[in-house]
Amino acid sequence: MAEFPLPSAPYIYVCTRLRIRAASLLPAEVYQRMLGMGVPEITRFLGEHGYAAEIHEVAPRFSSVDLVDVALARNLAGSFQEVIRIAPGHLRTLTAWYLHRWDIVNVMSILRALRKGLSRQWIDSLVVPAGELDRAALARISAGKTVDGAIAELASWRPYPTLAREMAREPEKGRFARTENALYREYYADLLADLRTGLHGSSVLEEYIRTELDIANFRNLLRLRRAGAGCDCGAEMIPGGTIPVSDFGRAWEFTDADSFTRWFRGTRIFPLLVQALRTVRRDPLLGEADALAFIGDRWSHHQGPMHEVEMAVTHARLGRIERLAKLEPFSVLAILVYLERKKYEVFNLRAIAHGVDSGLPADEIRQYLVI
Amino acid sequence: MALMTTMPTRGELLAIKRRIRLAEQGHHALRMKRESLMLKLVQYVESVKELRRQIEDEYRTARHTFAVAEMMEGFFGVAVAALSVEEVPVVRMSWRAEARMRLPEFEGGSIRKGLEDRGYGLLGTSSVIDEAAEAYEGLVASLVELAGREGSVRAILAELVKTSRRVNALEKKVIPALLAEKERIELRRDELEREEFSRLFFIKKRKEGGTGGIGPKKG
Repeated sequence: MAEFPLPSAPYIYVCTRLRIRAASLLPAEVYQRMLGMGVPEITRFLGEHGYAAEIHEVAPRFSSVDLVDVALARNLAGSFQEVIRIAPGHLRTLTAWYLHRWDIVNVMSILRALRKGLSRQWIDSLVVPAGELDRAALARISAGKTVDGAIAELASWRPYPTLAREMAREPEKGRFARTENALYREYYADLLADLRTGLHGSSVLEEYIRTELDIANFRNLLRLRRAGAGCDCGAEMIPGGTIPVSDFGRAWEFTDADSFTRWFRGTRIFPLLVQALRTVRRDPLLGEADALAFIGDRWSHHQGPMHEVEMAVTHARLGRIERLAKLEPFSVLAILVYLERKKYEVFNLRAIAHGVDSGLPADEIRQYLVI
Repeated sequence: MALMTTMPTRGELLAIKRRIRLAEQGHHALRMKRESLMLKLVQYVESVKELRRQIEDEYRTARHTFAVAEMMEGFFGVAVAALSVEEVPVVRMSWRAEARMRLPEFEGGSIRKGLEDRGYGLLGTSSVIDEAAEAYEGLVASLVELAGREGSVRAILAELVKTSRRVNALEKKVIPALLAEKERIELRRDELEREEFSRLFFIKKRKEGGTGGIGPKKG
């Protein structure tokens, strides 16, 4: 893979700026403190720690935990849009494409809302313009008033051919789900192709994405197993990870836990699971056999993924990418670290606000945080 | 039932006796019906209580899974998943016959759905949405069942009240009135018999005594 020459000044500037921003995000101990607050205190706290503008913007229309939710989403969108704006050259293209997943979420939300006949105000609250499509672009799409009108507005959108093709396919039932799945598959295929251009740190980013795909596919395998549904692995798995989709198809056929765990032990995500389980159970001596027993148990009892383990896996991966970013400080990894950290800061704050509002105990809320 | 004053004839007495027999048979049948309705009501009430307890547990579970879904996906993430639903649940009502009553029965359609029928894509959602959807689908299905059972309880209760009213009416008004009328007729017939007997006795005496004997004296 050809590597670009040493990064230019704009690259250095952007990477430095984002490293500083990542360092100024809320530390883990702040989340612990917030677990003891009520929703009004959380709102005030956020107003004092970088979210004031968004809170004041949405306060006339929302209150309580909805206010926090919408303000956090708007802050995330604003932060990501600014990264796209300041990133130079190919870095900008890559960042915009990495954040393109938000465009998929927004477009599908708008189409579904239009199908249900929801108001513009509702649609405006639903979208999080954290991708390439900003608020004005999304407003133009939702002004189409009908699903077909909205799709027509997206003619210049990169995945438009896939969108138009899938939305025109029969049968009508399940069309939106099929379209969404197709858009995500195309997104990851294009992202991995873009990463092979040789930008500094892109090989690490590629590995990060491929591991993300393995984890997503494995999680969906467990979901399908739990639901008792059939596995159309070609349609419901995303190709591109280190584990081929055909392997997931083979694993689906295993009815006993032993065969399944033997297969899983040979995958590249198994060490991640072991590490995550050690964190969740607070047992650094937990061995591979225990991890295999855990997975085998969930497979044989048709249980879905365990959320706390998912959080721990995410935390482990973030920690790894941060360590690698320190080795290549002026690379795309600096941007990735900021984007992921910011995403999970908003995720944690939202989880705490909703958890506190629902009256869940602090210990339980902590299980769902990425800290 | 308003009883008209009847003639104290044998025919009337027989008719009254027939009516009393019929009323007593009806009273017995309605009492048996009332008792069976009460048993059925108790059974249904117990099952409704059990189902309500189950629904309370299901509701707590559903609220918990929803709270987790909101924590991990945000309110709007959950809202978008909810917007994905293509098949709206329907509830069909029918009647079934039981113990000579029409009891309502509700049947839900498209309430519980498989993963592929919920309308959201697997790749854009997480398992917390599955769990929340499943929990609320179960809750709605239980509520539909509860509606049927509570409807049945109300129908049985209405029938029980109606039957009790009839039983009481027979017991306290109709049968006593018929018995009283029967007694009145019997007493009147006895009186008439005695009068007839006396009249015939005097006639006989007069015929036997010629000018003598008991009779109105001249002079």
